[in-house]
Amino acid sequence: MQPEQAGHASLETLQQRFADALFDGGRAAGAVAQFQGDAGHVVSLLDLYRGNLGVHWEKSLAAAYPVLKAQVGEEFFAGLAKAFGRAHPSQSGDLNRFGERLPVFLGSFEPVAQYPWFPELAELEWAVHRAHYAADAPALEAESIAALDPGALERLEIGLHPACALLESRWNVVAVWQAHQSEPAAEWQAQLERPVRGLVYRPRWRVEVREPGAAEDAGLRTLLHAHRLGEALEAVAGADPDCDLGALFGRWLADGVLVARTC
Amino acid sequence: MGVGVGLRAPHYREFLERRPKVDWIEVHSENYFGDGGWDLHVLHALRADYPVSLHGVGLGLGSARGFSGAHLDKLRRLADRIDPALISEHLCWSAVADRHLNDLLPLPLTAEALELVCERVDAAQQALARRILLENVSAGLRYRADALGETQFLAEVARRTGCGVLLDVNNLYVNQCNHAEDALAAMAALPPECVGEMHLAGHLVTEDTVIDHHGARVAPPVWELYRAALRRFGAVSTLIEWDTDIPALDVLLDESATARNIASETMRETADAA
Repeated sequence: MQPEQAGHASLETLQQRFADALFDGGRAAGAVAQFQGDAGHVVSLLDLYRGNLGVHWEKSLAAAYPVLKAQVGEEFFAGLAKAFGRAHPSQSGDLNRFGERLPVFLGSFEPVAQYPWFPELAELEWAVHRAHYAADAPALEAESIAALDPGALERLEIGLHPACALLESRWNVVAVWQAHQSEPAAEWQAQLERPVRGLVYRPRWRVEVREPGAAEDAGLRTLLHAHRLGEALEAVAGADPDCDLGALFGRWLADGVLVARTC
Repeated sequence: MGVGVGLRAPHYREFLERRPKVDWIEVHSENYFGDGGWDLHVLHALRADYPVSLHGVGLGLGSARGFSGAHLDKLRRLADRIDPALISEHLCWSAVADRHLNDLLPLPLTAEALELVCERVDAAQQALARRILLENVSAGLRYRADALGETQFLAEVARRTGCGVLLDVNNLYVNQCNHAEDALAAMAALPPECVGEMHLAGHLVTEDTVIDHHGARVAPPVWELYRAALRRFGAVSTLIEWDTDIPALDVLLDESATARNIASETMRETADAA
């Protein structure tokens, strides 16, 4: 026992040394003396705790980025999780928040440089992950719309459901994501090399991703700021005069992407 | 409340479809911190049929730095939504100033830590407007600076703050194996009335140490300790926990039936002896 040596350290110091040893095996020596037991045993337990930390990072990232994990394989993903966890330490006691900066990290992570679509795939997966936890809101339904007189429909303020997100990518990561929704994954390679727009939405709790056309995308983006159905459909028609506006509006209702705004 | 099981995502469907016969359910609070979505929807639906216990794994009441008021706010929001029957946290720390370690790290059992934990428990109980339960953890490491046993520490926090104790019987056993801490003596350090819940789970014996991996059936010596705990603390609400390699729900129901039998048997023996 060395009570004088460790006994005077403050709580903060004891925890900081422990944390340093967990983060970097090279700093374990600074923590060993504060624990009971012989040094070799303490070191092996610090290794065990450090291993747990890596496992928590990996499990959390795997939950948020299943497609990326499928693309790189388990072993590589475990290494990626460790590298990311060190570069961007967790900032929350809620591990579902861990990994927000993975898309940025992938952009400068040398070992994946030959997979230039990874950052944008990760961006899409993070949007899907957040959509899973997004607020609930009653989606506009065809019946309630049908009950409105034309004036009321015109005045109705509408917006996108809180679980919706619109994305743009230089690579067709929507096809990559969709291909990995089946087991085994469908073919995606041939479709990869073109830019894509993505709509993330959550009909009936399950998050989906699809590719809206340019006109639909213009309409949905209009709703982000204009909140009027008329303006959104005008934007659609402006981008594609031949678009079947009734069918498109029906699809928005079916997909649950519209909500009435309460002001 | 009897015997409950930890509700985990792989069992959502079965819970929704057949409402299995368990007395109550417990969830990890942080998995329901979202604004909405499937997990919260399921919890709300089951809330109508089962008492719910919220069990936090990320607050880290004993972190000297990096304690998050925002995390406590989210817990309060969840508690207000669910109105839980029980709400519990761990006697641990989990963050430093610039990062979270997302683990239930053992606290130095010192006077300084005791002061801090009491302050934090006071703050948490005030924010939540509820009594919380504080759980003993399995400690891979103990500090040379420790001045109290873990249950002595918990008893003192309970005395000063009015919080209760969630006694994890498996963790007592694991610490007995790893640190030669007598589990029965650890129980004896707790006043009988302060224990509001018990946890039972499986552990993993490795070459170096015993780990509370929550990935197996409750081991025979832990069932024995459970009997001793029932004799001292009475038939308090008991939970079967399983977090690693989650098996079919029926395995959990089978474990909870065992716990129920042991509890009624032990309480009968206690009554007969009296």
